[in-house]
Amino acid sequence: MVFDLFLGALLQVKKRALHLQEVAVTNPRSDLRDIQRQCIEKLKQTLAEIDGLIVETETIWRQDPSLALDLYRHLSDQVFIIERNGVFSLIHSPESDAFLTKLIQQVCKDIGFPVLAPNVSQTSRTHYRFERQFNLMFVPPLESQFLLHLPDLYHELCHPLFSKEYKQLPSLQPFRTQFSNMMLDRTQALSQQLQMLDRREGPAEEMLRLNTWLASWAPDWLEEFYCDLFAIFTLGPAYAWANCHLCLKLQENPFATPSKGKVEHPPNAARMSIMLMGLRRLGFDDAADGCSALWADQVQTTGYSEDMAFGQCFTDAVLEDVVSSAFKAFEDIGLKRSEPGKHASVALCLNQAWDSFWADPEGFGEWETKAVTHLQKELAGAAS
Amino acid sequence: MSGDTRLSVVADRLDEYGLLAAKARRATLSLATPDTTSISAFADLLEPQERDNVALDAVVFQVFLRTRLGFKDADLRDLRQSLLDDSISEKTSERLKCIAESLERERAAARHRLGGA
Repeated sequence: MVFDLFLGALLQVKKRALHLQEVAVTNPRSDLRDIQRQCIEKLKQTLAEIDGLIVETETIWRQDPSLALDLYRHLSDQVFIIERNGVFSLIHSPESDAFLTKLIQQVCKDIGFPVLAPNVSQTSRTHYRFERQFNLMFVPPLESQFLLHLPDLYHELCHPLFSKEYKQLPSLQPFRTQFSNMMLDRTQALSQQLQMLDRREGPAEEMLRLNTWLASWAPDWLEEFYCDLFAIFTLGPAYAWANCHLCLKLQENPFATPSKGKVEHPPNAARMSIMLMGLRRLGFDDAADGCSALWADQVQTTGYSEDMAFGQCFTDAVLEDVVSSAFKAFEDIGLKRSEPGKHASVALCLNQAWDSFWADPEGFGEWETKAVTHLQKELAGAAS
Repeated sequence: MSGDTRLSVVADRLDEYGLLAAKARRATLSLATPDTTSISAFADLLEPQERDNVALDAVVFQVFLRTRLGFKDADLRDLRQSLLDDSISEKTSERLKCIAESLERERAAARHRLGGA
């Protein structure tokens, strides 16, 4: 009986994939062609896998039902991902998405971004989010009317560089080599500490903590640090200010360093430290001083303070190594670095937005509305 | 910046590893179409890594095995060797199953946190 349910469920997944294919193929929006192509391609691959499983399903079930279920769940999830991300955007993306997609295309041109510019969809239910499978950035529905969080687009823009689609791309090899070597250095350093602790039969709690840090660094924390540094490298101070702005909305301890279970994001205080290090390397000392003072105030206001675990996990030496490695990776693939007094185009607008905010926080809203209109006109002109 | 991006990246990665582990397990069954590619791809993930010639997927996968399942260097070496041998032993099949189950648990948790079914 369970087999009947399993087989019926598998056929339902196939039916759903076929319906999604229908929706994707018939979508009329020319500005969403990239997403449409991705959906069609992924559905084709998934349908081939589903057919393969249908053919062998009885044999696999007879020998190992748990394996048959694993394979079914993977396919079912894949169809769900295509429906929820790609096809969802095809159906629900507003026409105003075109502005932010143009904006990200302009950013890519300005900084010498080496791969395909992503599309932007204003359908996020949370903050900014990048979906690798569809090369698609999700932002909140009204984001095209505001400027202070747009620097986060630069952070998200780094994520495609880690996509498996570009694994073999020769022009990205220097980037991958830098990142992979840094990853190996971190994992080896932490593994050695674990081995030493194991040899002298150190406390189990300490073992668990080191194990947690190892699982978190590789690769998630390192990738997040790279993305933060990418935004600093290509945009400059506006990204650090935007991060203070975002952290003001979060109610978490910025020094919280996990000790029992892997956490995907490094603590915000470590991220801020690495951004400030990056700004100073680029020569933005005044902005780094200002941002550092603001951050210190912000942390003091929330009542949190650095603890020993944070200090051990994120030493200045380790963070400085990450900055060196990331900046070398960006330079090696020809990205244009942000320099004091030399901003232009979108980077100029976003840095000016923060300068304007600090000059007059109360009157900024009016300035912002005019600046958005101006930016829309500029981008429309650049595209025509 | 968003936690959702990170979680989605984690889930995608676990999908890839999990699917590869499942296909490697499938290849150990007696099926009409034998799949040696999956076994070989899985064995590549267990290869020792050296600076300047690093396979990122392998580093990350090996960290997974060390931190979740307590694998040591010798375990990685043994498993890789036994996968590359002509006949796969029962012990190797059991180990593959254990890895696949661990990946599946984490993958399901990540997808659940992302609002999956």
